[in-house]
Amino acid sequence: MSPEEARRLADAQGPSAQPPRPAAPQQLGEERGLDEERRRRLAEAQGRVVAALVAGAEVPEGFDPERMRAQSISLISKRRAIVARIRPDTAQAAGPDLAAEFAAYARARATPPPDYRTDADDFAAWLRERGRMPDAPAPRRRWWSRLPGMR
Amino acid sequence: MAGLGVGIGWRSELDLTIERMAGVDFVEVVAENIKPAHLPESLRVLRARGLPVIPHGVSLGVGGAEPPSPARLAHLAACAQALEAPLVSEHLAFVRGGGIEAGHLLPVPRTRESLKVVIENVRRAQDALPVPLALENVAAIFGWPEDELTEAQFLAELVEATGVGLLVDVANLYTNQFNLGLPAVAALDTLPLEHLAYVHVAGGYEHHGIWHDTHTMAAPQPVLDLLTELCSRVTPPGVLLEWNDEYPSDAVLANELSRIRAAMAVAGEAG
Repeated sequence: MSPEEARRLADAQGPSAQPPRPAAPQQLGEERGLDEERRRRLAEAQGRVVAALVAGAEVPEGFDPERMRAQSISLISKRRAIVARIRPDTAQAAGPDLAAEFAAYARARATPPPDYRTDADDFAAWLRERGRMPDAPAPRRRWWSRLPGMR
Repeated sequence: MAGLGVGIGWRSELDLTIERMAGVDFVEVVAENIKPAHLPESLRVLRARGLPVIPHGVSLGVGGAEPPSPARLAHLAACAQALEAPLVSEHLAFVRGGGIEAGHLLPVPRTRESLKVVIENVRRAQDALPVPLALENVAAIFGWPEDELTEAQFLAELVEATGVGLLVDVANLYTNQFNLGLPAVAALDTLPLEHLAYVHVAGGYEHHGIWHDTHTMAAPQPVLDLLTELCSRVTPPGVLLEWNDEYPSDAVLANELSRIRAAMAVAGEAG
């Protein structure tokens, strides 16, 4: 199916695709204010949940603490899987202790890093500081430079 | 939406496996893992054969309090263009809050109020994308105390307001039934399946009474039964197997695709 066909099909999905939007400028202004207010409340609520799940903050009222704990552990194991994919050397160094080491590393920092690459490099540094991983290896010499008489 | 067929999630670890495998009609690629200007060679090979490749985003957070980031939307749009994709898919989820990345998909509070925010987010995403958007139901471990709607009701409202397509993950429906007691068949009753773009199938495992949707094992029979149930209501344009990490042999993956085809065929026989 080409993008054009897909678009045509999407257009054919019916009248609900483009619902009417408020037209009068005053209405638009009111709607924008309401939208901002709704976004602010949602931001607060979601911020509290994320802080509880990944930054050790208290579980907000009304949430099942057991389930939040399970979600929190699940988030760490998702991170661990991605970190192990980006830096297989960390998984190799930690061996069977990978889950425990990564959980300890994750607990030790206030918040997760903004991206997985940083997470992977920070975990490598954490393992290295604890003597669990050899220092960063010197840049590998090319095979030809190891041939006798070659430099 | 026209037929995509049966597909598999493309991963760099599976590139040759997928290129060689018979019966792969389309693939999906995690949008965050590719650069549209430098597509992996394997995806170019598949595109040259005419296989549809669907960019699948995981970090847009269309269920978040912030409007979706223009930069993330531009990336999805560029992926869709580079791959000549028929659509782009993402999740009904939020992934960050208070300036902190959660690292994975979290369920939105399903209230009338947050629905309004998500509707506006989806409209902005649709405006920024050159192709239709489809949203996926997520696997949840927790629910919000203020939830007023089920996920299926929430998605139905979202579809009604925005015309967004549906990516129904039957493994996620199973996960939510297992973990939260939310009946999966009732969700299929409620979802507007005429807006179905395609379906996800995946496996996971149970640990201490919680189902973990890890995509690292064969799909359990109840997940395939849900696929049959879905197929008895609508002919899905596409069904896609997701497998991440702990990759099995090519034969195991091929067998999973056969199990998916068989589960789809059962619905046809019953009908």
